[in-house]
Amino acid sequence: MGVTLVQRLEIIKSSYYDSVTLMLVAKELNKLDGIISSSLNMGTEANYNIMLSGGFDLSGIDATPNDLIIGVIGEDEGVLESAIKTAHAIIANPPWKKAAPAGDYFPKSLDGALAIQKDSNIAVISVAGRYAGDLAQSCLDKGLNVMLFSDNVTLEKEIELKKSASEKGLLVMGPDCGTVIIRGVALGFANACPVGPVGIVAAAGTGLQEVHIQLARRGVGTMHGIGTGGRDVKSEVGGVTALAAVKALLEDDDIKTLLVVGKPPAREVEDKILELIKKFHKPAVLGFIGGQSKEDQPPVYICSELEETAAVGAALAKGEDVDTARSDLRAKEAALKVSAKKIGIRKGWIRGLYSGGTLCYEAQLVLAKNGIETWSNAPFAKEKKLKNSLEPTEHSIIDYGEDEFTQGRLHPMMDLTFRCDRLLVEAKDPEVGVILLDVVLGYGCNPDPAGLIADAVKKASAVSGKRIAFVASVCGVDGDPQDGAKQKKILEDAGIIVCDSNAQAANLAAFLIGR
Amino acid sequence: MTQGPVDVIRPISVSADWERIPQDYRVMSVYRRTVNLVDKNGLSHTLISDDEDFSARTALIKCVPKVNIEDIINVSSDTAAAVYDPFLPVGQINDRWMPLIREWKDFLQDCDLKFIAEKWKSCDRISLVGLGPGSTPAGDDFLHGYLTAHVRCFLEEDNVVINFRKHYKAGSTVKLSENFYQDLFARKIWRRGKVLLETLEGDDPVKVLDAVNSLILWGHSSGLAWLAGFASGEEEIKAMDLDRTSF
Repeated sequence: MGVTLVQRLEIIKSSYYDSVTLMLVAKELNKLDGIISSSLNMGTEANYNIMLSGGFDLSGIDATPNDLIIGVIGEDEGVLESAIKTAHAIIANPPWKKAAPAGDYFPKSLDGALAIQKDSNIAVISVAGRYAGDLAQSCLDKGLNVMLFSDNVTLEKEIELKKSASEKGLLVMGPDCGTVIIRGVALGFANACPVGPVGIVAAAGTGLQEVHIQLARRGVGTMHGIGTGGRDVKSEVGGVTALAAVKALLEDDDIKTLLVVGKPPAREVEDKILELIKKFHKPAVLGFIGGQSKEDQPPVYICSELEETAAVGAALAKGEDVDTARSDLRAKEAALKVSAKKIGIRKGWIRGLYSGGTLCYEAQLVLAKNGIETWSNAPFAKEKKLKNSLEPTEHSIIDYGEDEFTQGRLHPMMDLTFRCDRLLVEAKDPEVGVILLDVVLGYGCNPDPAGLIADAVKKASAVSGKRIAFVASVCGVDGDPQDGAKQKKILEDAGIIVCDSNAQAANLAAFLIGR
Repeated sequence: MTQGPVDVIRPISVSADWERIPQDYRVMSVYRRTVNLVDKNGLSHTLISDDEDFSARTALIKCVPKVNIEDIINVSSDTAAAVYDPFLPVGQINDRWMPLIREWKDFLQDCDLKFIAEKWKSCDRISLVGLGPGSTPAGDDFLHGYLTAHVRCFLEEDNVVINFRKHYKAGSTVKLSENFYQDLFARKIWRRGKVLLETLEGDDPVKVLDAVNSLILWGHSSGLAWLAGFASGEEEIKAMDLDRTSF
């Protein structure tokens, strides 16, 4: 006889809690006997949808994005009561915050930090989006370049900050800038790659990470990786940071090869970047996925995929033939077609479950190149935007790192819980034939993403049998904290087909449905 | 680590104000690293096994002796070098550190110390004497830090110190804290605090962080409370807001 489950919802008005705290509290609640599910979210529309999809009944709930919703589902009222009390107790006094070792003091304020390290020239900002803009302005006013890791910063604020930075000769890298590499030192999400003669300008991101690791796999190191934030190259912002970063790297004698990577910019911004690069006669690759520029203009090469950008960039850095690098990639693609037949052609839709925005975008374009139209919450064609990101249709590629999923929640590169839950949901759909994933490694990322995905895939396979082929790529290197080789093996042992790059994984997904 | 019963304790080194003539002391309390004593005049002395704990009337020993409360022990320091001068000279903080010092007030947000912030805001400051848990109550630690900032700046006592002494009632806190206050008014301070003050006059961030860390390690929350108090005092002094401050 089944147990009837009950739920309890509680709203804490006008209270902000960081996403790490909320994730950890939920984990603690889930350990309690009799608790089936718990979820702590700020009351944004996206979080409403996430809780609804998690089985919570939110009818009658009145929470704003400034309010915290605590939701628990369990076996009886007593269990729920106890869980809510526990949640309050943990939030009021999080044990992980008290665990900071005594005698390990570092400044907590910007001014305190500058008192200790007065020669600092860059600040990394990772606070809730609504506070991030003003804090970034304070940093600029103190003469600091800014890496704005936070997302949910308004476009108006971004424009204002970048204007201010430009006047001061500073850079605002971001918002939503996950990765920056300065003199080989990683800030944010980044991989343990060698230092070398390449400079990268990217939205930053997984686009930057993918190119960084692909260069490393080809034996080429990176000196600087400057993130701009995804909106920087759009018309509204005008590529302020991208242009400043490109110029700085072109003028830097340590940089022998420049790579510019990202989703397609506004036409006029792309033209300005190309024009600027051409002035310096430095070997460069313009790797805008789906960008307008098509023809190589040596020493400037035009690429449309991330691995291709890295392959061409590596060839330039090593003084090797660019055509050979490209033909090697084409040979790999041909080999994937053969592999697909060996693996077995599937029927049904492709569902991409991504944590990286640029990787998600690239997957859509690779599939499009193979004649597959996709839906997405972050589509390259506006008309293919999903109405509800939690209800994918036909071929759909979802970016779980989009703002809608990260308001008051941890980024899926750190917390894979929701993506793994969605993997199970997709696997239950009898019309799905291929599930495509990215597995991003490096500093700041989850310590064992492959382990979590492998567990989810094992559960999913129990439901779907052999109907679904799981295809992934690992964006990482062996030197990463998670160990790239080890992560790859964990995935393979779970029956996941692991490709050498995101583009290859997307190609294989296309081939697996007979394209 | 403790050692067996001894007739005479011979310290390795002493503070500059330690009484050199061998004499008997009564054991008041025994801790892992310290033994608190009183002499025949009721004046406190301390045996320490870690030189970080030097203060007024302290003697460094190899290890804590096996003694009990109320034991009478003899300490002979005639050959021990005076290695720590507890006297607090007049000095000025390097302005560079003020933004850092200000953030120490936030240590009062620590759950164990929130009551201090509330009392402090309510201006019922003297009620912090003896308030809170610990072998030195946290309220005393806070006030000690606060008063240190004031005492250190002036050769003559300022209003804050005068007011405090006027309102302070003997016996309203534990003996150890009372001694701290008395020593402070004699311009004597323990090593961790003195080292911090010296580093704050300088320009070396590593030394400042080391000194802060050393203080934070003092007691359960004593160091945090002291730093918060010191920050409150320093901020007040910088604002030259002394006249409006009272107990």
